Amino acid sequence: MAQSGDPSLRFREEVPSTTGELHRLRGVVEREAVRVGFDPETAFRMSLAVDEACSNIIRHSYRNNPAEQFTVEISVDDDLFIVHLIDHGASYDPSGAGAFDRQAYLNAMRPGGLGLHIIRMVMDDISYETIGEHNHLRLVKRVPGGSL
Amino acid sequence: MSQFSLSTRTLPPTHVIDLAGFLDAHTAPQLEGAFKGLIDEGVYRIIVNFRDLSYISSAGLGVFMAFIEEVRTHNGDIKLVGMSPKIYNVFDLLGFPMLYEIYDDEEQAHRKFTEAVG
Repeated sequence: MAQSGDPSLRFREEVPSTTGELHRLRGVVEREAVRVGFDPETAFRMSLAVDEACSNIIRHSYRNNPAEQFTVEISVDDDLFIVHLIDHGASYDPSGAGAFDRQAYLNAMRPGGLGLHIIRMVMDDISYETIGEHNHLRLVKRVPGGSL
Repeated sequence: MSQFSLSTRTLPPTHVIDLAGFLDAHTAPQLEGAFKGLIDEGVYRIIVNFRDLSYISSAGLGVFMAFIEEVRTHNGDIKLVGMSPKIYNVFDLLGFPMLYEIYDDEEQAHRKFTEAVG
């Protein structure tokens, strides 16, 4: 069980940078989210947000190079469910992107840029930082009902 | 395990794309190819049946965005049918119901196309 103030790692894996991994990763996120108390619908949305974040790493950070890898960690710290993604590709700060204008987007009828909007709508907090050669993206969702 | 499959069939005056499984960044290129194939043949009245689709991410949604303008330019449309609540919620999250006609079943979408053809 997680202890207060002591991050509890529930999953850690080096994942090949290929979209073929997305299905499996979604299953991991959904499973762990339900285990800590999220309802199935919220867990599904969280797996969607992580899919979008991983897809961005594969496509934008690594430019679809399957030889690359990124790290996926899932931990629970007090009442926070944290998905931590680490890559060493091209950095992209999602917090620096402009606010999503849905109407303008729909009017333009152009694909792309939806993933980040989904992540923002589903997760409670997103942080991004580049340390040395590594990009760290943390997606945080508050666990319902407080501390585990 | 096959994650995704699609097939196309004719339902004059429309063509139907049936989707099954998981539509994500890995499988979206297959749907893109199906749309390209139909449009290359001059098919612009398209129904997409989601009945057996269990997942969609923005990569899948992006495919519909990529083709809707061209299809409508040719007086056609892409009408979406048979979504589970889970799939509809993803569309709704991004405001897509404002842009696409979404019906409970194929017959409703087909009737709309038939009425439009006159």
